[in-house]
Amino acid sequence: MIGHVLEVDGLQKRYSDKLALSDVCIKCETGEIIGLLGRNGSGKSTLLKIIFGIVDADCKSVRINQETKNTNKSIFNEISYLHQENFIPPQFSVEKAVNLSVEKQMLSDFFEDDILRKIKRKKVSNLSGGELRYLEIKIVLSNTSKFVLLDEPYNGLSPLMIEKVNAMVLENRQQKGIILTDHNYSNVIKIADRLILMQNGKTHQIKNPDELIEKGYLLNGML
Amino acid sequence: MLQRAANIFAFYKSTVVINLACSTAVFLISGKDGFIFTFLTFGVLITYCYKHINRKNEYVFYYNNRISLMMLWSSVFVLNFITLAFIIGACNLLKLLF
Repeated sequence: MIGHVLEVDGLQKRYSDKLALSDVCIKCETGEIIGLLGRNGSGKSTLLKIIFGIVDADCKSVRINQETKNTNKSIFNEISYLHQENFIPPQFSVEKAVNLSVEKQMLSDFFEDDILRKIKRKKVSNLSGGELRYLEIKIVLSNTSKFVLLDEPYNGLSPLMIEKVNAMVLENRQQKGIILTDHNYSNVIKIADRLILMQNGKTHQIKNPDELIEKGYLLNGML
Repeated sequence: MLQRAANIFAFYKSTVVINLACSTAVFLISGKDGFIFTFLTFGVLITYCYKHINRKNEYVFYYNNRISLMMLWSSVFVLNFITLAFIIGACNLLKLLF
């Protein structure tokens, strides 16, 4: 498999006079999962939105295989994104949402799943929060993009679903580079190959989970 | 390619309902010309604002399917002309028949 590299740096974002993001540096290769941790308001979601191109930054450099990605079109071809909030149009049926998103040859494999088989004929608006989140994660990971940004994937998922999602993410790591952020830090630490901590809009590379305590993200005994 | 067209059509269907509701309201007040004008201009603008305020997250679904905002709305603009031609054609046919 040919490796691909996503690089983000030189990123700066201001909200009026407050500097929300600066000194951000992220490098993600296919075959690795990066866990992005940080307190509420530290800029994690904004960072993912800026990488995906749905929020403007004052300046940024997003490169894939050293080629700068300036347009939304070029980004959407290479990166898929799980929004923090639900994003599948509620008027769709599950089957329709999947048919519109997943390649035809992958459809039968896609529904080889206990949870999805049960909800296949349901309308998206009738799904529970957990079922909808699970569907969204599976759709995003089934995308043929090289990189995936997952913003709070564990939100609303039962422990059993979390295990399934972790297995799915790990399976997809073989072909994709994945950047994952969530407040469920134990699961992030469990599946991530590398950790990055966001504090005051800056990224800090974490070499050992104990550093999360040193830097004040976690308290003693939380690991 | 077919999947992309299906995505655009699904998005279009979600806009045309709101647009038709606005345009029909104008039709009741000012007739056919008002309907056509609203369907091609203010109806689209109202739909855009509605989507932007209430359904913004849904764009992410289409972005993940590699369709940009510009592509979605330029398709809506073109498809509106086709829908309008269809509506006018159907009305003329009904006039001829009855």
